[in-house]
Amino acid sequence: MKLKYDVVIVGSGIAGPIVARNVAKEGFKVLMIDKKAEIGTPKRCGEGISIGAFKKYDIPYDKRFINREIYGAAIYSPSGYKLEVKHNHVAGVILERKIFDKMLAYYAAKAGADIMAKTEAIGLIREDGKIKGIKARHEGNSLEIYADVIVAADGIESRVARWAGINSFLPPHELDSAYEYEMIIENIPDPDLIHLYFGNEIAPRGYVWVFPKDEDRANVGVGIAGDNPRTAKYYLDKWIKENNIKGVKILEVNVGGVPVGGFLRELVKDNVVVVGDAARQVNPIHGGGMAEAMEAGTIASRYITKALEDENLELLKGYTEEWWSKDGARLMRVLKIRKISEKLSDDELDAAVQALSGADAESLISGDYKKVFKALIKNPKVLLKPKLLKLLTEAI
Amino acid sequence: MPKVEIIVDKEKCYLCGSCVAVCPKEAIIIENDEWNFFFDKCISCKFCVLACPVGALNAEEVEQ
Ligand SMILES: Cc1cc2nc3c(=O)[nH]c(=O)nc-3n(C[C@H](O)[C@H](O)[C@H](O)COP(=O)(O)OP(=O)(O)OC[C@H]3O[C@@H](n4cnc5c(N)ncnc54)[C@H](O)[C@@H]3O)c2cc1C
Ligand code: SF4
Ligand code: SF4
Repeated sequence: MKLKYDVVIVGSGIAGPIVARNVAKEGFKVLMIDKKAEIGTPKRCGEGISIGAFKKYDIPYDKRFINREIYGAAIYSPSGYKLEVKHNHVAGVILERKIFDKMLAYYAAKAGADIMAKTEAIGLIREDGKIKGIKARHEGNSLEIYADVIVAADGIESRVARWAGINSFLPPHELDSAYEYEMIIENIPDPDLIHLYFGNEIAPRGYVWVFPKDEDRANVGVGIAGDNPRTAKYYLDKWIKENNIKGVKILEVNVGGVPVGGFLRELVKDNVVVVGDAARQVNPIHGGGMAEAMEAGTIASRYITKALEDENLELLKGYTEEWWSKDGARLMRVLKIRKISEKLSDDELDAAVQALSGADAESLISGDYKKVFKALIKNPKVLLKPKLLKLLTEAI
Repeated sequence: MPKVEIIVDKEKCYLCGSCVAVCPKEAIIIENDEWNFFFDKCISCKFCVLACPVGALNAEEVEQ
């Protein structure tokens, strides 16, 4: 079967539906496909997102996909020093992504986009050396989807970008290998906070997270450097055992990879536009990628709309420039901080957590480090750790 | 470096795509909910084995 659209989007996770909605709203013919039979399922996510994302990206605050409102975070160092940030207002939520992703697709559909679940992209259509669309399969039937613009929103395993000749190979060190249980946990220290546990024995290069979905139910997971010889599963099971976690009953096992670095330089090639995990647009410290996918999707949709309006596909390249000058520059700063933190021993991590204030931690996670580092190098705890001091000094 | 064949333990694999992302040569492809390995493309770097969150992959050396 042959189909013709202005834009075809591969992947209906977070980035895809944002692009689909925004471009369809402008009156263009959009088709979004996903290989999943049920959009949103399985989830591979801790489901945490900051509250600001709803307004910023024009997403309804619909109780159907909000499990729990969260007021802040507690960060634990290897020896158990705690850094807590608790606001008196809602700071973020733990979503139900199975519903959230499906609703994002629904909003795109309401804006006029066509959606096809259980439809897998299997290659590009090339004619006269030009990319003309996507070849896909649905229940054994072949589809040829012709489109002026092709959007690769196909997540961590993205193949669409590679077909177009963009090298989106992710070195294993730039992948967080992640393993998570959605489970019953009776002793969540404070179910109004998310809890993050750091340490080289706990989660090499990454952390263990407890994201409460109820008072006694949470996404409990771990991410570790993808080149670590042990598995993420090993570290999570070890943490659960060693920390006397009570009432463990496993409702889901969620397995996945998170790109934490290696952002794609080339976000557009010819008429192919890459967004979200496919473009490796994720915060390299905490591994959150939903807000980043929304941001990239928002920028990309503006340039797609412009390119279609002006019938000039060259304009798509503006997305690469704008993303890199804004979110890209910010995420590169975050990556720089992570490259320091991943070198720290448990002792040094303890000292850093003791020396930081909650506001400092929030600045670091959003990529603002100069002021924080300048204060840290005068802190007595840090002065006692020559390597930490050297790393921080070098960075400013 | 001896050439390897990557073997998947299907009962452990969640089809999460991490191995696909870290493969420099597109020697692993997940399509139609199936994990596929292409021996001719593989350069035996074993990145996929390292990256798998559950240890579903093994590299078996093959005689050339
Ligand atoms: C364990 C884990 C925990 C995480 N926790 C958080 C968190 O708490 N907060 C946060 O913000 N982020 C988190 N992330 C990251 C977040 O999940 C991703 O960054 C986000 O989902 C990226 O959105 P996306 O739209 O780019 O890709 P995805 O959401 O992965 O969507 C890609 C879609 O493309 C589809 N697809 C792929 N190939 C094809 C094909 N060939 N044809 C058709 N469809 C295809 C897939 O089925 C999928 O639905 C976590 C990730 C993991 C693995
Ligand atoms: S990384 Fe492991 S679990 Fe994920 S698809 Fe590859 S073999 Fe399967
Ligand atoms: S060993 Fe390297 S080249 Fe071979 S499949 Fe694994 S990642 Fe790909």
